[in-house]
Amino acid sequence: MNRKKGFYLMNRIFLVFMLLVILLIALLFYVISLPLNRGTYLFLLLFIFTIAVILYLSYRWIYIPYKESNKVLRLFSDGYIFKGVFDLRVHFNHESFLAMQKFKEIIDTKELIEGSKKHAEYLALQNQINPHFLYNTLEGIRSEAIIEGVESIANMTEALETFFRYTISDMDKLATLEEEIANVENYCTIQRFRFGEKINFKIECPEEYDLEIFQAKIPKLTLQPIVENAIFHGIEPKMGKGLVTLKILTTPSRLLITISDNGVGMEEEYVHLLNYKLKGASLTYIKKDKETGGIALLNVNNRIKLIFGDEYGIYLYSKAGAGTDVEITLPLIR
Amino acid sequence: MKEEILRIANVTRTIEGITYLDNINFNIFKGEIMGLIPLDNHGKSQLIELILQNVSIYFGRIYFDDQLVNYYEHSSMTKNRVYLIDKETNLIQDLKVTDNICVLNHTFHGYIVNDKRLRKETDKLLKQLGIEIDTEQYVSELSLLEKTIIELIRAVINGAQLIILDKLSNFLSIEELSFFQKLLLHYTKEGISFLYIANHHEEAFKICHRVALFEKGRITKIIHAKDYTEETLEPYILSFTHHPVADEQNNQAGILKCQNLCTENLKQIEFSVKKGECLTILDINNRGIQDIAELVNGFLQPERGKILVGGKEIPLVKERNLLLNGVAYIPENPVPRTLFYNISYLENLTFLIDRKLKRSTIQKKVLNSIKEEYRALVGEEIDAPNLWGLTMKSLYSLVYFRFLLYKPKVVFVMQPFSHADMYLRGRIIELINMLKRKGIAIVILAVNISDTLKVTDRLLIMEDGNLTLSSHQFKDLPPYVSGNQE
Repeated sequence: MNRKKGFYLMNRIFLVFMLLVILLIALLFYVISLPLNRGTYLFLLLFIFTIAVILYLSYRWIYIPYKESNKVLRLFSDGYIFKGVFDLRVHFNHESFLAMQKFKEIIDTKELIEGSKKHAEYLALQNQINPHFLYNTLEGIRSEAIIEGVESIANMTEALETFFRYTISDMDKLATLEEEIANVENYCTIQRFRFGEKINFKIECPEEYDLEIFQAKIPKLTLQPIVENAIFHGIEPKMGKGLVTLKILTTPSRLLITISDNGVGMEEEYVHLLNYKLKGASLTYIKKDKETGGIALLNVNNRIKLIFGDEYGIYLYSKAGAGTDVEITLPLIR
Repeated sequence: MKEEILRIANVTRTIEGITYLDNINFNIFKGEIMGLIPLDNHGKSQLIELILQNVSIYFGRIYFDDQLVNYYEHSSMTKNRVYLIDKETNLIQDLKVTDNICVLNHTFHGYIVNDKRLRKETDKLLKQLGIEIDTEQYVSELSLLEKTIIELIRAVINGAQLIILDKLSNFLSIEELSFFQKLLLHYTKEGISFLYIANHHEEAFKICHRVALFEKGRITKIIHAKDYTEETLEPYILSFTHHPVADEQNNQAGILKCQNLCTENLKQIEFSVKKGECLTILDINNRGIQDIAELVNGFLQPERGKILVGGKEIPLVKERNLLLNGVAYIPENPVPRTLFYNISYLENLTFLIDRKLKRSTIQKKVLNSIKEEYRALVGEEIDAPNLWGLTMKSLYSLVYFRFLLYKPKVVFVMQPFSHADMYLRGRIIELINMLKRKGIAIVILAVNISDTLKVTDRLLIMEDGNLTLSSHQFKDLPPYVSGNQE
């Protein structure tokens, strides 16, 4: 981070304030050194009281809001928050407030959302043209055709067709949870041609919930990239059967979706690093090498934060050998 | 649809450069008992403090009853409607039960205290809950269970929506805990939520709807009730194995025998323990083991009966008599009670040795010899000029090494695992096994089985001051006890 040379404006204000305080204290000592009579006592008391009130008010009205605003700016520069920086509790002055609002207008989060969506589309497209993906899928079709006959080829082709159609279609609108789950099931069907019974998918939803919950709106392609991660990074390297579970819970204002797998899990420090990255919204990850990992997670998290705000997003629980839980927090939109 | 009472989102709390809570994320629903198992104790008290009061955080957001009450920019320092119940009671000891419940709460606005009416109300309330406590009693006269129940009722009447229960099994016996848990379930139906902090998953799994594992200031896993299996937990916890003592040692005659011991809470108990054997006395209703501890410490005289050490009767006049005859006692939470922080490690280690050598000063060559012998066990810590800065693991080791050096015939240990996190419990098991290998008999006094079965060779169950059950009757134990069996 570049450091500007010279005093910042607030540093100068604090310097002048400190000089004033020193002056007042010096004046206090001068008054104490004077011969004391009743009048000076009264003056002294009033003087001390005034200094105490000034110091207290300066602390509550100036120092604390100044520190809070500084902290918000620091968190913004460190990538922890994005939208929060525009909603400071106390702005430095009216002009800085106006400047912030203008800044908010200029950078327009829509552009970032667009960027993020473009990247999601790119990831999806990359999957479609990924030679391994296509090769394995086609290989599956071929094997099935030889062994089973026509019907399974039809089923598989249908699954592929549905999956591609859903993935390529308009990313702008929100999809229903039902559509997203159908896409995930479709994706698992396709993967099952390759992995066979190793891939199992199940949905858990409290019995008391009505079907309306499945009409809740969530950003398109929120679930599939996470299930894909669970299969490729969790279940594929694992011996034996794998299970991906999608748990749905709602509160009056939020939709909580947890995607769990019983795969190989992740090292503790890597989980910590990913959770650290998932705290904020930034597009820096797009520039980074794919090998740093977790791009799909970061992309989904970014889109959620940019569309709905910093308080929503993704959190990971994982340990080597213990599987992974990805908790997605979204606003409940019916 | 579930309503949330508490939501902690991405909270990081740093105090003086130390990160106590590291990006933690969890929620508690209304009417839910959420378990929290701290695998180490790092950040636990900071988390409790943060839930009780909206203190400053570095990052994150905290919602209480769906309202944002604390976030990274501004912490209001206000208190949430949360009540903490732990061993240290918040009740006023010198006031009656009625006053503690009805008067000392935010909902009481009267200027005149109508004793009769309040008593009637309190009696009615307790009757509804099926609790028999005399409301005219002073709190100081109540048992720990009764105090805990009164605190719970007081918390609910005070309007607490979330109640934190901190390691109840440290001070409530199995029977008491079971009764208290029924009360918790009753209150969950009224929408009260609980954060149930427990040392052991067996205890938490029995009562909690979900359980969060907490380690290094992070929530590492949230387990839902249907996933409560040992396999789910296996990657997260240490497994302790039991090494029984050699049979030849068990065939020896009892080194310590208690014959026909009677006190106010002990009813003619008889037991013996052999050299190198570990015996656990599990007090189901928390009435008798305190008397045994007081007998061993010389604070209590038995009404009848005697204690024989090596076949010789010991007059129970002073603690010194027992210690000189080879009977030592390690209290619950021994570090602050038995160690001296401002003197050196070696001085702490050799604290009792003067009695053994029967000399007021210990020769330098003896000290040097001890120092070199224990350097192999503790490393450079043996040279520490004081105990400040040593880890809890080292301090616990010092407590047990002191007796390893003194080599008494029997050591009574009160609730050895009660204040320890998972890693420390592993160390205590090693330390007890060290004492056993040295031929020292161990008598563990416990109200909860905890990890004692990982070291114990024989288990005696005490109920209402009677020893009623021995180890071969394990199958009759309550489910929580048998769940721990090796």
